[in-house]
This record gives sequence, structure tokens and C-alpha cells, in this order.
Amino acid sequence: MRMRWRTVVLVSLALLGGRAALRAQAPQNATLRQALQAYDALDFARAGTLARRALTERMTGPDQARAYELLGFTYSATDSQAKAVDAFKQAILLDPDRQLDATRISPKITSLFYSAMGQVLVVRQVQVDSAWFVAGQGAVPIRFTVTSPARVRVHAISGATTLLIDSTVVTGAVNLRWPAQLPSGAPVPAGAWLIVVEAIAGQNTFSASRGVQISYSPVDTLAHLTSLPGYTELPETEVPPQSWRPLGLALVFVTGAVGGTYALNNGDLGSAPGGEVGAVSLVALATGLVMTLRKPAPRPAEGNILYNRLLREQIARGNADIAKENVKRRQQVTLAVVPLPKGSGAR
Amino acid sequence: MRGSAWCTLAGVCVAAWPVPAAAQHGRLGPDLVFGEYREATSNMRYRGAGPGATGSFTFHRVTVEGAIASVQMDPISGSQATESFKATLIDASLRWDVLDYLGFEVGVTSRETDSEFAAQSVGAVRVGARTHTLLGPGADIWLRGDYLAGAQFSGGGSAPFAVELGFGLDIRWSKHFRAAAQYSFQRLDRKTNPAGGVEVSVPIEQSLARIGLAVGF
Repeated sequence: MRMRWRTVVLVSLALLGGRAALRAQAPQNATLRQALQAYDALDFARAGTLARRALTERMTGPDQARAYELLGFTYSATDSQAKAVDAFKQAILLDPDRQLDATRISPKITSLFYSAMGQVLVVRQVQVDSAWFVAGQGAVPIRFTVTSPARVRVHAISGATTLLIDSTVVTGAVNLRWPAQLPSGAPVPAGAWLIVVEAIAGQNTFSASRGVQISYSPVDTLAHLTSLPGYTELPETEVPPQSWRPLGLALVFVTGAVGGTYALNNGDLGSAPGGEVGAVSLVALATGLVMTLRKPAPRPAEGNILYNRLLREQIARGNADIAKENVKRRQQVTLAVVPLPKGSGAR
Repeated sequence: MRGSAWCTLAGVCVAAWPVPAAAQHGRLGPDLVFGEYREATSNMRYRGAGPGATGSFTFHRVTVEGAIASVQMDPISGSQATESFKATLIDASLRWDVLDYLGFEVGVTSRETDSEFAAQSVGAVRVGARTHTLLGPGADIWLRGDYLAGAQFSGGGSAPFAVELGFGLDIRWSKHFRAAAQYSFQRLDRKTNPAGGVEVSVPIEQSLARIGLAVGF
């Protein structure tokens, strides 16, 4: 009795998840719609019958994949695991990117789905990320998943140009980086490109593709430096502090003149003459006093001049490097790679 | 051979000048000159004033200077001198500034009087040194000492000890306008032996001040 209740609960939970997944988008085929309604009403036998009947009718690819998925859900609900896996395999082959929401679908159904995925060879979720880089200095990230071990070749195709990006034996998630260069090293021509992933395992082959648009733009050049961050030029002159030096010097010279006059004076001719030396001494002392009191004239600050010279040399050196770099950059191009919507590809 | 040696020496001197500065400048202007003259004893004293002129030209570290003045000297009251005289003073020198603050000079000095009885005319070669320093922007103060060699007097005799002390100030008011104040004191210990007799000491002293303006270029 306990076992039966547990089974009912598990099946109910599984169905709740399956129903949520199936409600996503209304199918075009009427029989399939009826099958989905029967599944929602937990009438698994009728849902399975209607799904099988729908598969005999004319349907779109997505509706076919959905019909097989519904069959997989109904077989899972009725514990027909082998049939469920077969149905999921068909659904995956028809729509390799199809995946279940593991948070909403029961683990039982999810495990059967992934079991089916491991038994077929498909390339899923081919993704090309947007990229913007200078040619030769970056690459386009490409990601995809191979469900079974296989030799995988990745090509980029545009018109008559086909470039081999990678060839290796892998399984699981694969990450590649395509430098978008021709064998000569030149950047690939601008335009629409198709990234084709081809997986081969024995007689089984599968390929998936994703279109990208590549465009060119010039590489930004660097602006020239006018200053170095954190360093500013210093004033090249400085006003010395006021001092009594001019008056002191005048006093020294006056003392020398007056003292010399008195020392050299011949005593036989009387006392030394004072008028002339006094007049000139007065002029000298007055000039010394004026020079002492006036604001000192700015004088060159040698340290600052040297510092500024070094700074200007650094800026000039930096600008020379920038000019050299800009010459190089003007010969480069920036590649902008944008993935195209699914279904579109190279012309 | 001698000519080429002089050329070589001149070339070496030009190449050896320590500062190849731009410097080539000069000045010329009038002076007001006043001074005092004493001779023989303390009672023979004259004082006077007159016009003068000063000029100089500097090329790198070499400076040529010249000064002229005409001073009317009159006896000072209380002096035993009775006769006035006019003195014409001429000075010229060539200076080489070996350091920024020191230069050596050679030149001549001459004083001609219009009255041989009132005062002696004298001429001599000057050899000396001059030091200077900047008091401030445009103001240069200097001091010099010269030995007056080979002094010749109109009344004869010689002066084994003859010196001159100089002191002055040059002020540059603007690019072309200068002012100057100068002082010079000459002492000549003249000795003579009139009529071949006993040697007599007849000292001479002259104190002179110049206040002048000048145009610079």
C-alpha cells in the first residue's frame, strides 16, 4: 500500500514537471495539441496514442520533436524506460539544442533524457560570443557540446573561403578560440561567416552551425601626453629670503675705503681728507640699505629647473613611444564579431 | 717666428677665457668731480671741483676704462697756498677679471697743472687689483688698490712709495641708464734733492670723488 502511494506521488511530480515543459508553446498540429491536453489530464494512454498518431501526420520539425518528447514523457510515466529513451533520442536528433529544465522536470525523466543524449551523436548549443579585438591580438570564443566521442572539425566559411579552425577527437563541452586570421596572418575579410561544427564517429555524422558577422573598424590611437599623472612642473624661479647682506657688504667696502684712506694718509700732510670718501661712502651705504629693504629679485631655482627638465624629457620620451605605437596602430584594424540569429548564415 | 708666437699666445688666451659669456658692453657719461690736493706740508691744501667724463668697454673678461676731469683747485682758507691752479686728470687702465670677484689691472695716471709753481704735474704707471661684488640687482660695489710705478714729476724727483686706493659703486637703473660714484685717494711720497743737495721729502696727496651718470650699451 505504501509502495503504491509513493509511486503515485513520484509519477504526479514527474508529470507536473513534464506538463510544465510541454506547455511552453502551442504546437501547430491539432492531434499533437490533443495529445498534450490528454497528458495534462494525466491520461497517459490516450496521450501516447495521440502522439504516435500525430507522428504519422504531416508536421513541422519542432512539432515532430515535441511529439517525440511527449512520447518520452508518457513512456517515462508508464515505466517504459527503453521506449522513453528511444523517443527522447528521436527528439534530440530532430532538435539537438532541446534541453529539459532540471529544476522543473523530475530527475527520473531528466536522467532518461540524458541517457538518450549519450546514445546519439549530435553537436549541441553551438555558441559564438561577441568579440571586439585588434586583429592578431585576440580571438573569438566558440563553445559547443558533443554528446558522444567523435572527431570534430570546426570550420569558418564565407563565400568560397573555408578556414579550418580546429580538428580533434572530443566529447562533452568544447571551448575554442578562433583568432579570425587567414593562414597568411592577415585578418579574415569582413562580412558574414558561418562557423560549422562537424562531428564524425564511424558511420555517424552530425553538423551544426552558427553565423557571425565580422566588421572592421580602425584601432584607436593614443593621445599624446601633456603631463605625467601625479607630477607637476615646479616654479623655475624663487624669491630668496630678505637679508641684510647688501648693507653688510656695503659696510665692509666702506670700511675698507675709509680705513685704507686713514692708513695710507701721510701724517706730514695733516689728517686724512674725509669729504670725498664720506660722500661716496654715503652713496654706497644708502644703496646697500635700499637693496636690503627692497624685495629680492627672483632667482633661478636650479633644482626645480633640473626637475622640470627631467619631467619634460620623460613626457617627450613617452610621446615618442606613443607616436611609435600610433604608427603601428594606424596599420591595424579592430575586428567586431557579432553572432547572427539562428538560421542565418554566410551568403 | 715672433709673429706666429704672438698669434699662438693670443689664440691660447682667447680659448682659455673661462666664461665665453655674451658680454660685450660699455658705458660713457659725464661726472661731477670734486677733491682735495695737498703737497709738501699740511698747510699747502687745495680744494676744488669741475666737470669730468668716464667711459668703459668690456669684452668678455677684459675691461678698458678711462676717465678725464678738469678740476679748478683753490687754496683752502687758512692754507698758506696763494695761487689757484687747474688740474687736468687723465686715467686709463686695462683690467682682466680672472675671477668673478677679482681682477688685475694696469694703466696710467696723469695730472697736468696749468701752474708749475702751484702744484706738481705727475704721471705714473698703475699696477693693481680690483675686487667687486653685487650688492643687489644692478648694483655693483668695488674696491681697488694700485701701485703707482715710475712716477714722474714736473719738478723732478721720484716717489718710491706711491699708491692709490679706489672705491666705488656702479648702479644700473635701466638697460641704458647708469649711475656711478667713485672715490680715489693717491699718496705719492715724492723725494727730491734740489740742486743736488740733501734729499727732501715732498709728499703729495690727492683725494678725489666722482659722481656721474652714464649711458650704457
